[in-house]
Amino acid sequence: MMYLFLVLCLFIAITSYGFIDPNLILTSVPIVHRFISSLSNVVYQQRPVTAGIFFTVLLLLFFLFRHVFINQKRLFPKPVLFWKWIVIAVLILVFSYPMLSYDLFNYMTTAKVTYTYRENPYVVMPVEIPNDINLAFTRAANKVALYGPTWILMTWFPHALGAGNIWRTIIAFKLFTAIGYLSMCYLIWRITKNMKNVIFFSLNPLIIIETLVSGHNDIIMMVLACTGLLLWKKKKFWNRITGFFIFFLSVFTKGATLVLVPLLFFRQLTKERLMLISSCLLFLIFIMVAPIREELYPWYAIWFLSFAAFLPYPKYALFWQFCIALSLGLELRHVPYMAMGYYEGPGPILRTMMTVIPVAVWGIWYAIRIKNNKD
Amino acid sequence: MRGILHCLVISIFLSLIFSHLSCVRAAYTLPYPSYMPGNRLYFISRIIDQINRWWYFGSVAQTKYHLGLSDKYLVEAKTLYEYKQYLLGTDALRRSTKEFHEIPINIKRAQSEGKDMTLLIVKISESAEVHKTILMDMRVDNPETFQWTPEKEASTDLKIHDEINNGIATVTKVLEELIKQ
Repeated sequence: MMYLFLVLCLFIAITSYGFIDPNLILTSVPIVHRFISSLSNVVYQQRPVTAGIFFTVLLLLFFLFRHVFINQKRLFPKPVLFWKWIVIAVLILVFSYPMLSYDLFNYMTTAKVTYTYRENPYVVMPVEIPNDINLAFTRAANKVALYGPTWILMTWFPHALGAGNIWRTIIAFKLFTAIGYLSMCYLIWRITKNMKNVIFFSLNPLIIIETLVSGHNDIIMMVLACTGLLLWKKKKFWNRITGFFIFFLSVFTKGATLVLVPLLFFRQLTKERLMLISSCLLFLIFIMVAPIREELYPWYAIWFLSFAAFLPYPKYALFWQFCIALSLGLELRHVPYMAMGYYEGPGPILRTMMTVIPVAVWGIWYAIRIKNNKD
Repeated sequence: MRGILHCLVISIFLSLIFSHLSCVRAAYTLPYPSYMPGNRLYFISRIIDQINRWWYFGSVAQTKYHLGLSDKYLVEAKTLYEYKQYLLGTDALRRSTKEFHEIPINIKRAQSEGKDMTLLIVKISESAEVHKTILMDMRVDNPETFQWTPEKEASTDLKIHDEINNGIATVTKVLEELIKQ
């Protein structure tokens, strides 16, 4: 089964290059260029087929996720085995193209404004340097930096690793978020010592796609927030200071974790309660932000899924099931655009339906199960 | 009757075509005046201006910084002159001219760093035109000189037109330099 998972990862990594922006040329090697062009033709010309393939791959990933979760003890008698698979999957997906979002290009261009042009990214918009080649494939270039100073400072590493080469910079940024992903998996393992918790987070297709494929920086914010809050709970003074500092690094990465600040004043909360409240608060923000931003971005689910992964499994099975159903619904939001090529028209209603249906199906299934148990 | 019908059809057709074309273009607008010189809180605004000098690092940012300040001080000068506050107005005008003078220096710096400044140059040219118009109006509306006599202090001779002319000359010089580019 895990071989199938790796095959799917490899398939995603290769086919993701079909989603390449028409203005972006990653290679001058003729064979590779021709291969990417033909993939692109399928993606952009055969949109319903592409959406169908994505839908199938997504369902397969969720099926595998469920299978591994249920058969975890049989499949991975030793945790080391699982880690090996995960590291291989990460190494494959790091080389994929960020096919579902342009955010990574925005990170790259903002880092370029800061470190190459030495301009303040909170004052100068990328579009104000019109001869920059990144503008051809960057969206939201008419905005100043959208992220906090922690993120801007951290982007120096992937920017420097990229050394001006676009493809290398893409991979460097993805490597950076992949480190965040692995750190989060390790943190979950270190705290819970339960493989079910690690699997709930690491094999969730939403986490895999939005972190390892699209390279969203939300994972970095969440690693810092979880580490910070957990250290803050410790008794030693220096642990608490470090925790406080790390937590605020998270707040200044993207800002969503600002909502967790009041929790710093409730030190008597148990770890379990802390994680539950954090997850619920971030879920609320996720739901509340949607009407403001006019869109429910799937990668925002990383916020509450990260904290949910620390909850003990049998006790919070219901919450986890809801999270998984919602993850599927959120990932399906990519399908209408993939099929149509535009966001407007029936797009908004279709995206809402795509999100609601899996959650509703899960709700009905759960209600029937309860009724059967009562009978 | 047939002719009227033809005219009606053609006019509807033309209106459908031209209604899609937009001739709307936002003209360069100066900022709304905030705390004015003479206000007790004005020094805070000046401190923020100084902090921003550090915050707006980079040649493009510096260009925007000096343009923004020049705009802001010009609005102050115009408003103060309208209220016959010639001493404060002349000081604000002097500051506006000084900030505008800094713009081409930063543009050259940005260009030497390989940054395309086309968009900002267009914006600055538009700003220069607006500055020039306002300064010319100010020259018409205000006296050539004014003797400012505060209580218990020596009087000051304010050469208002000289200051305005200096502003016009600076703006014109910058505009000419930008057009050459």
